[in-house]
Amino acid sequence: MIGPSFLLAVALASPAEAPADSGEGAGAVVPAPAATADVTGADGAIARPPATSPATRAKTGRGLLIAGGVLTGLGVVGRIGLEVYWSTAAQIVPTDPFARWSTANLVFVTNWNNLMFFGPGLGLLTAGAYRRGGHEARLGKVRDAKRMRLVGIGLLSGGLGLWALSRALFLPIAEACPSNRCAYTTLETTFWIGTGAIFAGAAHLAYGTGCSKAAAKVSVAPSLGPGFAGLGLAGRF
Amino acid sequence: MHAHRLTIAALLTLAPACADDEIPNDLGSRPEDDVLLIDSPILQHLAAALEDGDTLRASDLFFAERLRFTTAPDPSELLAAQASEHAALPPLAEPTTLKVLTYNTGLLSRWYPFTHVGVPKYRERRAETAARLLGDGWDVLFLQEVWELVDVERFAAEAKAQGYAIYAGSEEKHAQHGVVLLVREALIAEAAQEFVEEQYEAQREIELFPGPGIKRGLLGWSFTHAATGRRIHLYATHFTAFPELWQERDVQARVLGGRARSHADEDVVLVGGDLNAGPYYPEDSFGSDGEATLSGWWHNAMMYPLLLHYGGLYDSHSALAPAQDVARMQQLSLPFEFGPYKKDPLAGRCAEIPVDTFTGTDCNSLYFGQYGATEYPARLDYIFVRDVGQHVRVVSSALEYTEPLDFGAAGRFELSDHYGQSATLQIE
Repeated sequence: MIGPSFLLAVALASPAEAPADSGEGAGAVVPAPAATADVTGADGAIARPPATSPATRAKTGRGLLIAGGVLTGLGVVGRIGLEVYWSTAAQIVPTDPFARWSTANLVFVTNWNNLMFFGPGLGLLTAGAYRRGGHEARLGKVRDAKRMRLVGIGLLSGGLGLWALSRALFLPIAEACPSNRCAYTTLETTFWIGTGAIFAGAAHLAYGTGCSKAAAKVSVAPSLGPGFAGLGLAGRF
Repeated sequence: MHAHRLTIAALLTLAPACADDEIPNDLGSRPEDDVLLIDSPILQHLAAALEDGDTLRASDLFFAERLRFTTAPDPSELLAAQASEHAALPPLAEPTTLKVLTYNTGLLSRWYPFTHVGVPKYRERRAETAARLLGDGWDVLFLQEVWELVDVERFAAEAKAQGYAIYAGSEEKHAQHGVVLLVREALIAEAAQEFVEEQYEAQREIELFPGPGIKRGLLGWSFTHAATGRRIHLYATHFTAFPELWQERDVQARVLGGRARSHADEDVVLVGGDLNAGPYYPEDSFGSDGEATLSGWWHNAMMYPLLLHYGGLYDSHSALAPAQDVARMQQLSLPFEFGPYKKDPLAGRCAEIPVDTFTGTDCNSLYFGQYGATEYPARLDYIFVRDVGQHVRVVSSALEYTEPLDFGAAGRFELSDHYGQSATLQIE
């Protein structure tokens, strides 16, 4: 529901009206409104002060992005570490055929890293990108949100498809491979391409969605009236 | 190997749900289960070493809480009895010779989270092993630790070239038990052959996952001996390793023994394998990782008599003369001290101890590299015979592949971390 327009000079919303954790408060979360006292509009109308007045931090997604980046970075380090282990301490003979017995351990060690780091990292980065999109939209940064979402959907679908297909068909692929080198290279190439596409796609989709939603909920428009001029902001309350 | 053990220990700690039930499901169902230890010439030395041993039965040996060893079980009489019984057999009229080898090839190199378990110099040794073993004139080979299918293929190719038939079980299970049987093709008559592949119920499951993909088992191969018409049943196996896992081994011995005993009395049964325990350990504590000394070795002395008991078998290495397990163990520097054993193989006594008994010993450089000072040397590899109809004679028994070989730029080292055990048999 689109609420009433207020003058930009007026506090757009109090915390009571727009919970700080809404994440999509649109215009509801504007930094530090100077509304600790009644504000008189140009037409002499008195705007109601906020019920409470703590400073509300904008949800920029920065924290989520940082946390997601750290976890993803750990996942990347873990995966590279795993590759180093396979190529050194594990003493896998590169020219031997893939040993089927090792499949359970492959599933275990790769998914352990995925579940510990890449999964949570992806979730946080996606949430962070969503918030970032909304935040930047509210700041008026112009993005082609629709295009970003389409690109995101394409990358995400492609990445997930590649990842799922390469895992589902890993054993036939590995057995068709003449060597461990071929099998492990296939495993890792599809992992990095798939993961890269999944992360990029999820980020694009989330960012674009955040932009779109914020844009849909917040509209800024010139507002003119007898005795005043300003910008009108429409948002959801 | 330390890393392997530490990982196993850590995983064991983290995975109590993987605890195994080492009591045989059908315990009490066989006549051999109910035999009083003191009534069995094979088991009575265990009775003498156990508190209340005169009241215990074979089935009690599978319950750890019923076993309180007061002294080392001494198999001297059992070893001597086998030799005297064999010596009392009349000569065979028209025997043919059968040269048998059991050999743990040590072709192990596997990874698991996040460590590696393997026998040193795997790549160099595996390139040599098949051609060398199949070029040495053996008629029957019981092989263990041919884990990888690519190594089985090497043996298969060499077998084809040298006139051997090979059986390694199914691909999936083979990769878990690593056992291979080879028989010279000319010895196999037209009659139907039978093959068996079984994986023991008693396992340390964590060896399979998340360990190095190992599940212990046996292979069986029955064929009719072309020269004599005698039905021969072969069983190759590799029991669970590590001294603390004696219960798994004992249960596996009961299963294998049951297999051996299941055949007609006129048939000949040969059992070969790495059974991972010796007949005798003089002191209950021996070996260290540098911290605690390992205890519980006397429990490991039960596997040997249990297999003889359940299988109705005799030990080919104790047929011509009593096996020297007790004498060789008494040549060790005891009590165990970590420093000297870590510094030099067997604390410097390798030159004094004849190479006629221990198939797993620090005197083998590959063994020392993995287990140095952590375990007793012991006779781990055996060829057992079930011969109710008295159609077999042992004419020689020896350790094989005991000397380091020249591997060119890779250096000189043994073909495996175990020595082979051979038996030359006469059969009619």
